[in-house]
Amino acid sequence: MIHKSTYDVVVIGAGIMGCTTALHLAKSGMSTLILDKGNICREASGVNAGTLTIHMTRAQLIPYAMKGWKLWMNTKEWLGDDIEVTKTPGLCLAFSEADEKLLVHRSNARIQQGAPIKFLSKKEALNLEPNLNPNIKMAAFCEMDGFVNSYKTGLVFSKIFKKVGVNLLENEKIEMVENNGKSFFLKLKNNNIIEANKIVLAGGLWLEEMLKWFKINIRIKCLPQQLIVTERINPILKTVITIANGKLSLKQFSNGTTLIGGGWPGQRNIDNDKFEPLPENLIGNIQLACHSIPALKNSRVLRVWGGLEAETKDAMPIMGKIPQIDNAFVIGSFHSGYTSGPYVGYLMAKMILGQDEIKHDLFSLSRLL
Amino acid sequence: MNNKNKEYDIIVIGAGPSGIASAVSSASNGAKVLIIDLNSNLGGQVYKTPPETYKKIKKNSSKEIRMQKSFKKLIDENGIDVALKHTVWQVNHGFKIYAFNNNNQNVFWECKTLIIATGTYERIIPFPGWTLPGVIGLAASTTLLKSHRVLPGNNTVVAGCGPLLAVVASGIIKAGGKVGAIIDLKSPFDWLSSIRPMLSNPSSLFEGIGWLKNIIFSGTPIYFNSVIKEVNKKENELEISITKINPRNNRKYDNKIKLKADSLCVGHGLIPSIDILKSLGAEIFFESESLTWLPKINKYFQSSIENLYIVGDGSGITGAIPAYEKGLIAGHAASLDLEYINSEKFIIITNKIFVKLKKFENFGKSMAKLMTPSSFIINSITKETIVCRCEDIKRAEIEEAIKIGAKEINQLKSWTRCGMGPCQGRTCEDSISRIISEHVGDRKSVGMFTRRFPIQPISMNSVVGQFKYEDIINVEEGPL
Amino acid sequence: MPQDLREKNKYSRGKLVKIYFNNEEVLAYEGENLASALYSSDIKILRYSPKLKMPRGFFCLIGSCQECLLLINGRKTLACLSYVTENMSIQII
Repeated sequence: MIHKSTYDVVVIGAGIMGCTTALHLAKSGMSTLILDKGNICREASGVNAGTLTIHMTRAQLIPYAMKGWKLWMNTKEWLGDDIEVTKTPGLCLAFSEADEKLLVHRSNARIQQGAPIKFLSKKEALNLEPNLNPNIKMAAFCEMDGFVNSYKTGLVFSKIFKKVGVNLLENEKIEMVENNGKSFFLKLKNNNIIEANKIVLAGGLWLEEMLKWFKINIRIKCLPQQLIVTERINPILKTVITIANGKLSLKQFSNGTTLIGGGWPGQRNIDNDKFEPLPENLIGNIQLACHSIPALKNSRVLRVWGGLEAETKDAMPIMGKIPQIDNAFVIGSFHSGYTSGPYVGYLMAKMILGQDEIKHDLFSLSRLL
Repeated sequence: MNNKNKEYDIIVIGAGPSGIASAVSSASNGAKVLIIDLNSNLGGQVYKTPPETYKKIKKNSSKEIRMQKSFKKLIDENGIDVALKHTVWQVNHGFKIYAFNNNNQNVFWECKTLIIATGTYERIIPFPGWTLPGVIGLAASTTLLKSHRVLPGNNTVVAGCGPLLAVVASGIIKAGGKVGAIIDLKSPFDWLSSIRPMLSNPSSLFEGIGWLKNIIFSGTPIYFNSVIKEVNKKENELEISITKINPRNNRKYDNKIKLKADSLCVGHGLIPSIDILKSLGAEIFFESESLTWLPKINKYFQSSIENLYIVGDGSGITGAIPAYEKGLIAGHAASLDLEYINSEKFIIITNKIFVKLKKFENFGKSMAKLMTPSSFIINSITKETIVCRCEDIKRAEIEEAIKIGAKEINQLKSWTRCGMGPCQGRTCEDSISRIISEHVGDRKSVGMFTRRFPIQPISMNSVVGQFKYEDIINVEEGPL
Repeated sequence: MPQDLREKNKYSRGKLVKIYFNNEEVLAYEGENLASALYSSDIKILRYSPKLKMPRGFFCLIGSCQECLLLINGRKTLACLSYVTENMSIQII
């Protein structure tokens, strides 16, 4: 419900980036509206595997992921406790010599960025995770890992928004944004107009069409990520399992269900802009999972789904001012964005409030123009 | 009955009357046809017969057995391949159908045209105690009686609405069991108003009179306009409390009647099964009369997706006899697609069937009306009643999520886990939709749970098969 | 003879065999439906619900509700879609 039609700031896109940014802006006293063309956190942010991973985070983004991880471990402080956060170590497995080389190379790149990763022998890994396939050669261990039941993200943000006074408007697609130099005017479908002093584009995959409002053309690539969940089974996993080539993530929630991911692609349905599974990729993903934890073979798959993630042409994020337009900001396309979201949303808010001291040229939009 | 072939012109999923009819009409035109069903017998839910190991004692021939025999004859005569005991778990466009069998082996077939005849599943609106063992569905009870030849209990209470109430009660009595009471949501007037349409369908009327006869002669008490308030386990029995509802203002009367029984058969109508269709992205619409989501189809039962048909009660509930006729039409239409029949012949044949179908229209509508529970049934679900059985989620938790802002069923699913269990929301979707719509006022905007495969849970063993680590499809490694 | 919720007027059943439910011997007829065979022997509880640990039995009998999932000869299978074989081993999951 729109309570009024003028706001200090309007955030467009209610995924993890937009929601965290809006949260901090509202806490700082700005009148804040957050909009989404659908429901809150129902795109990538609400359907991802929830892995708080360092092993699979891109090396350059490790510092952000680590800070994000710390915030996730402390959700009671800033988000609320209706979301389940599980702290477990992460094990990245190598099954062949090629795997070993790859694992060492990738882990070292992350260690250089500050990731607390060390290497375990086969024996040590099996000690830690008894149900591992005994054919592993070695593993990389990171104590900073874990997961969240991401489907609850929308719930916790909805609750805290009520507390801190963020106005949420769902199922509202913006037709056009106009700018008269002083304010932004957002035109909604039913001819309602919303006026904002500052605007933040946090539209994930849809940043490409949003940036067109400001006559900016950049390509945002769609990464349709596929996931698989099993029914509840007896506890067989204590850690988050990944694999040297990065194409497996495996975890077991407290309720016993097991979630399998790893970036096996599905597809994007052009007609309705929704995710669609690619059945061929189901088999390879499950084979990797069963190879890593053979005990999984006896469980039943309940569902295959996915989300649409975004990637820029150099695969690095966008965060910062929209060039040549005052009071307009953009954030998105972070690999492992769910992990780093709580931190980068906070940074975005600081930037908007004029309080940032850190330079984030790495993420500037200008580099893509 | 063999299914060694991999490619077919037409595959039919579901071997009930509409599925059999589709297969028969297609095959009679020369198409290569496969029919798949997860049961061990032909006939679907309507014509259930005992397993092969049962031997007839008396020289009785039930309708179910006769139908099954004639189905088998038609299948054999027309050279239709059959895959029984196969559970379809995935259907891809183009079409590729994956199924697993009793040995957990994964098999697949390809076809040009797909006909879905998966029928319906039962709607049961929750009430306190509905999850107790011994409380089973009405449709489930017909399977128990007709196929397994087992009584639901020594003393059974039958409750809910629709023709199945009479079928089950009469079936128990005929099998030598005792029906403690019939608890009917509807009134005698509701039943009487369905008599006129039944006149157009004499065999059904005859059947209905038979049920009534059994029930009346047994002296079974019938409570009209009544709902189950709660069921509790007392020693080895179920204590069933019922209340009467004033149909004019939906207010409960103060009187409470307690019945003792060892089993309760309850059902509130049938819901068309459109899982496969929806997972393929076919268009659907919400029908306000039956309060169900239905597929958008043309008069030949073709969905919004080319070469994809849906027949039988899955396309809209009208009963078994019209289902067969509808199946014939779809089979001929599918044959026309593949040029196994020419348009002239097609028009002549189908026009005749349409004339037949017209006679059943009113009958079907009145049966559907009888099995649609009135809106006050939502009050049976108390705050403490489990709504999502798979995940143990109570109405109170659902209401809480709605209060925070969940207005659409998939959003509610994300916030509560309703529909995330093994049944993937089939059992609770209808009730949850009703609860949400109480708050948002509009049933249509509540939506449907997104359908994804596997349509039925499948063991990982069946999916992976035998493999070597090195052979796992070489996928580009993740970014550094 | 097994308990009689079984209707025996019109049909005779196959061979009487032993099956094992949670390691206890139960008599049943070869080829009959497993869910109703157990039910007829007063075995109505087939599982316990995940959060509240409440007893559940079969409910829909058409393979939809998943309430009758059991470990049958070592595999997770729905009892309502299974048929009795001699020495069948059934465990609650």
